[in-house]
Amino acid sequence: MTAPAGPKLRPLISVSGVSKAYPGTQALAGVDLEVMPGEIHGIAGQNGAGKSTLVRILSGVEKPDSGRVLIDGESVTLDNPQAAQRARIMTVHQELSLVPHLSVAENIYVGELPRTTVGTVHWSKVRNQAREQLLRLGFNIDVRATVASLPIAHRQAVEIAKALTRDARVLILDEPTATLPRHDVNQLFDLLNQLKKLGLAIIYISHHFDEMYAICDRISVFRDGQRVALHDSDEKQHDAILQSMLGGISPERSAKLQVGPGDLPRLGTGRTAGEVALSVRGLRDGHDLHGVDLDLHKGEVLGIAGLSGNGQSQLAAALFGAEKSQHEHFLVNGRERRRQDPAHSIALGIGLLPEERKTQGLILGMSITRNITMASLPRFSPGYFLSKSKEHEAAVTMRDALAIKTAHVGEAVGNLSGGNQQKVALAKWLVSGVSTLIIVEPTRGVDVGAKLEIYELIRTFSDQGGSIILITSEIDEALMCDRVLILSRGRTVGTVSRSEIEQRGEAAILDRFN
Amino acid sequence: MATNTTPPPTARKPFQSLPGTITSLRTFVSSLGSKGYLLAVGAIVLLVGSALSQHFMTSRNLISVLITASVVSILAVGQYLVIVTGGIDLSVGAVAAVSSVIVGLALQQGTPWPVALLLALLTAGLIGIFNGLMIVYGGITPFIVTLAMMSIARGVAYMLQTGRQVAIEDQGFLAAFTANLGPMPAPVMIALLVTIVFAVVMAQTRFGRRLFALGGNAEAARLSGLPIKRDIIGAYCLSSLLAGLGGVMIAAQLTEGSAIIGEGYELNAIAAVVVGGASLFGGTGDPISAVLGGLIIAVILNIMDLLGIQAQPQLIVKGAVILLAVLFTSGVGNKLPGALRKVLFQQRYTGLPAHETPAGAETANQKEDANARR
Repeated sequence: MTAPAGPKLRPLISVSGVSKAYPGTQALAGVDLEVMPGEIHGIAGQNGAGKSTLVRILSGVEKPDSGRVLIDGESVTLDNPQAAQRARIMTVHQELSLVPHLSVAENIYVGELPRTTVGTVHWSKVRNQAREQLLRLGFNIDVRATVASLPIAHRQAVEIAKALTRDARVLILDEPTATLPRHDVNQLFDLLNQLKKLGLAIIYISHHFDEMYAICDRISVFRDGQRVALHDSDEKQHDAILQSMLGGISPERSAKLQVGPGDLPRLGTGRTAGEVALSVRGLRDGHDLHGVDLDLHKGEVLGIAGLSGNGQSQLAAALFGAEKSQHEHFLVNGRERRRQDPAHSIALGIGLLPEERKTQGLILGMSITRNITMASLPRFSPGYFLSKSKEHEAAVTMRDALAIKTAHVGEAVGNLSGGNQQKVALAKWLVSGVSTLIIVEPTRGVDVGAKLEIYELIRTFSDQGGSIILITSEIDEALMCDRVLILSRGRTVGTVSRSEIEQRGEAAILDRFN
Repeated sequence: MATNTTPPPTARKPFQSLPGTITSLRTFVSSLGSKGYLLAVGAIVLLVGSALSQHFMTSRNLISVLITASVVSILAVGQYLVIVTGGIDLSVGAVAAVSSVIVGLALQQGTPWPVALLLALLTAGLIGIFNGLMIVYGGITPFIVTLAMMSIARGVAYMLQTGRQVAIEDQGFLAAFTANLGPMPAPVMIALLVTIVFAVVMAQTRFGRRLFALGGNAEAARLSGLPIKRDIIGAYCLSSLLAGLGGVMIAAQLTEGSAIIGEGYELNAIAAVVVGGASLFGGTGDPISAVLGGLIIAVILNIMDLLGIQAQPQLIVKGAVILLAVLFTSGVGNKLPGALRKVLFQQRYTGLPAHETPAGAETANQKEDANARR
């Protein structure tokens, strides 16, 4: 590998052997990263690969368990955000950290407003300096306007100007384009190129490769808490980068999943024709979805594959009616859906196993039993009153059938492990008797053993005639489906059939990304 | 232990029966759930009361405490229904005033008392539905909506009253709400009935379960197909309706409807719920505990009355009781001396010892967050 770098040899920021564990997960395992002055260094990786943890450590929000951070060759301790600021590391977060109702100038100088000799704020100085700073970045913005009144691209410029007034040497951008309209991206890139000339070291985190190839010098790929590869930022490297990011099925992982590389478990039974359970055309929501077409056959397991951040969770919410969307048609069992509302979807036999298990799928403080019966309460109250014995019976049946590890079903769901929580979330739908399940990232944050069990449960649901839409950014999971749609930037951009998957393996899907 | 038929070694029998009794007592206490500690605290308060004043443990005194506490108990039940959803209703005192004025005015017009009662309850219910609609469809937080309604309702009560006294002379009405009903005066029986009805609603019906779910995690409830908008409106309607009932009861006790009644009752009701152990973040507690919480406060105030303590220091004690209760029921309770904690909190931790829970990192963090927020 050629090592393209900035003009100087010594890295401006150097991370070595940084590890961070949370109970149950190793978020970072001995990560190294070096960024030269004047370099824009991209970081790619799936959700949960450890990117955000690294950002939190570099911005002083979290302390690493081990490892060092060097700035310009000197070791720094980043115990808190102030320490990171003193080390001149500035982070521009995905959700900007500006105060919306203060003016642009105040935001840029917040916390360190220049004073006059009598101690009052030197407003004219504040405004002039803020204006100059922004002009230097190529933005002509009224510094007296409130931040809330600015378009997002300008807010970002303000955030960057704020970082520069604090003499940032290292600038971290966490998904800077996530909320940015397309045509403003170029403006951001011009700005970054200027900062590059000033000799800043810039860390650029994104899910979008075309952006990274356009702006970055090198790309580090993260997977499972490690930096697994360092690539030149070049479109020609795309396949190699995807390969490192997704990992494919390493021998080690195959062993854990008890399957050989060519022998993936199948989630579905291969029914890809016949009656259509769900037919959707032109699904869009105005921000994240721009045209999704799909037909789900009865008994089919339809994968929707895409890299994280291409509209997955929004698609699930729109299909389930949890968020408003527009469409050309939306047929459930051949009839137009009348309302966009979870209760209506459930009545039509559709359930959603959401991505955010803890905040969307479960009530952590409630018992296992109550979570399991939550979506089918009428069934458990034949008269006026809930039948506690029926509820208990259903919960025990589910606990045994799904092997939920708990001593008693009255235990709060919050006390269970990730995998067991996911089983409870699934049990809720099995009890409710839905015939179609929309499943999003079902094995995220689930340990390897429970992963396989969850696959088996999905397979059982399919065996019994259930239809499944499996929205996933895990390539392995996509490969287990009967048929795979590719989701890119909120659109379905192609179909991969079972025979293609069997002939070409993961390449059949990877080739369709981007 | 007397029913134990297996003969233990005779020499050790006297030593075994004491721990045995304690164990069964503990089992009994833990079967009461969070009410166990309230009953324990209540028993302590009663003992202290009878030790300090010979007038305390008389049926006359206790019944007068219960009558005083009856209206706040009813308001506390209503308040609980809202708090369990994670909301709050500051308008209940003012709604009680409106309701008392309406019932008084209607009776003055010669309206039959059941009709006057319905009219007052209907008005109160509509106010609650309005609160709910503003919260659900107006997107305004419950605190603000009900704060505004507290002012509006109080104003309406004053305007209806138009400065004159609204005396109530309808004997049928007065009898219905003040005479003895069975073993106890009517207000006490009504409060008891309301408490039991809503205890059953919360524990045994779909509506109750949905309120718990809503307060536990509104998004998860919505994604499980529960009608959360309707339920929120329902909770505020019931809270207001019960406040209206409370207002009618005060009107009967005072033999007049008045715009100044119920001042500060909303805070007493909230205090009762909180002392009863419910979290203001929703999803926890039960109506009986809320009523017990209110009774404990009422008894403490009564003891101070009997001791001739002035009203001003009583306020300080009342505030201290609220703070102590919340300290006990929140995470800070963990840091109390171990012995005290073991006695009072045994049942809260059984079944979920920390080292055996395989809870993931985020669960642990969330718990910490929740504790930090309290």
